[in-house]
Amino acid sequence: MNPAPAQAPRPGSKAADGVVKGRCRDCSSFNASPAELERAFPGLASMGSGYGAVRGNDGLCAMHGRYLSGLSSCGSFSRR
Amino acid sequence: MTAQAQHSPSSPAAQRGWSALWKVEDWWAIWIGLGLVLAAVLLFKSGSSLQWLAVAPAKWHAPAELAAHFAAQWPRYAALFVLWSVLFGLGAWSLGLPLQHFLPSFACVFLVSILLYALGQWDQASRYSLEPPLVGLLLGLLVSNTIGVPRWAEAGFRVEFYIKTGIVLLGAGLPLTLIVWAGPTAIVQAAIASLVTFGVIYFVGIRLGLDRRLAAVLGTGGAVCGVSGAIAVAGAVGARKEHAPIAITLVVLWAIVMIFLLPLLSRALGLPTGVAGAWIGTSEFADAAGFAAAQAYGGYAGHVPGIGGSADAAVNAFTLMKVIGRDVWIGVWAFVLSFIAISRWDDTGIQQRARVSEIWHRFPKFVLGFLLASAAVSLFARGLNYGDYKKTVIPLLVAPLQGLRVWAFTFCFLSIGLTTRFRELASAGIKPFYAFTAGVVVNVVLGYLLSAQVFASFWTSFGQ
Repeated sequence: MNPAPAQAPRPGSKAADGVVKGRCRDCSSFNASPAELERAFPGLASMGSGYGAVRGNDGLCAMHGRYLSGLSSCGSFSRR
Repeated sequence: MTAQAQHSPSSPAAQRGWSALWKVEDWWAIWIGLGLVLAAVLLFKSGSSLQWLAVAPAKWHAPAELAAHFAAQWPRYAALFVLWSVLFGLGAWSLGLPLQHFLPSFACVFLVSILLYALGQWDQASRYSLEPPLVGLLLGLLVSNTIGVPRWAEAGFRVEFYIKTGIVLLGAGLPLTLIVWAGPTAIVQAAIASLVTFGVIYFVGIRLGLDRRLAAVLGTGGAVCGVSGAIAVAGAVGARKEHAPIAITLVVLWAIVMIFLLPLLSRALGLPTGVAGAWIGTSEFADAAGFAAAQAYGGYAGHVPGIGGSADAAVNAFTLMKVIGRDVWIGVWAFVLSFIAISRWDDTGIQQRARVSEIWHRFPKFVLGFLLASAAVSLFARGLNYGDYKKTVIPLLVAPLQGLRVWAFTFCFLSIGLTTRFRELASAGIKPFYAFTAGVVVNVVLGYLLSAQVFASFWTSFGQ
């Protein structure tokens, strides 16, 4: 019988080592400032906006170099 | 680069919960737009009107006539400036933009908008194709790409804030029954075009070896909602930080081309305003750019021989196609693509979940304001007969709101040019360019076929 596949922990929940990981929105590597996003994404303000609803709670992660949801998480979490 | 935020709404949590009501631009567009609708209704019920505030240059032939108009009406322009400064200033301040930058910048936008509006009212303007949206855009592009504008001034060039407010006001001029009647056709047409365009960009991108997330961001930018669609999906799928700027560059460049190309082609083909508006709504990428094209084309009605339909039909058809047909689905696209990214694409080392609630969180809330404005005026006018509606409600209630809407749109068109600096846009690379351009070509042809062939009679009658 095959062992049950290991499941990735839910974002923000307890990791395998039992340590509670936070979500990206609380991480020191995460930046969701609309003004800084408009600086980081040239042209965003000319036909879009950093202040609009469609952004949800997304922000830039300096650790992984990604633009992602603030509800994500990873093992490199560092509370701000 | 944009103006620095004064008091930062940087916490993403600020966009969740009740604080979103004053921290998100869409909600401010609703408060301003619906506030003006409510004021217009109350004034109308008390026997007055917003007419005095909604001043606009009259048709003129000789410059002396224009000068006489401004000499007589300047108090109304001053009051209009105060009104917009207070409303947009309050919103800008709440969003975190510094008022000491916003107000002088907005004053410049307002003054130039008066000149643009006046130019459009010249009786020879259509002869020289001096459509205010296009002139405003070109003027802004010329200034920002040659002499430049100071960074602080960008606080007043809030393209999306102005266009969203204008769209809410536009709702007051569109009967709810018309939206309900035309909405399903717009949704069907937009769904066909969006799915095909996304598929073309995505699969051409994959064939060219692009990252799946980049291909998805490009596809949504081209198929759904331009820059807004691109950043919504970039966040939903956890794209690399350089992916969204690539999509933004391509959307902005092609959107500017389409602002001029689609009205030009529509005019050459002699399309009625309703058909052209539907085509622009299907094939233009960004709301602001599309409204510039649609309003410019609406200006041909009654001035250019062979262009049938009413002047408002181009903007109204565009709105239904773009806002109801495409924009409202942005959350669904983001949810579906995030689910696919998590379950099927390569692991990014980041734990993400596809949440159905994202459909609401990413929903462009200003659309609710547009629908509520339409419902409010429709309900108010329900008990009136058509004669009274035409004689009193249109000139005293609807027309002033539409006059204010034209002002908001003019601020937006000028701001597009002033914020677009070609040399600062990210380098897109040849493969993303090919993939996106393949989608553009298919989308334009498909948009024409759907608007001017398959649903031609519908959009023609819509414009009557």
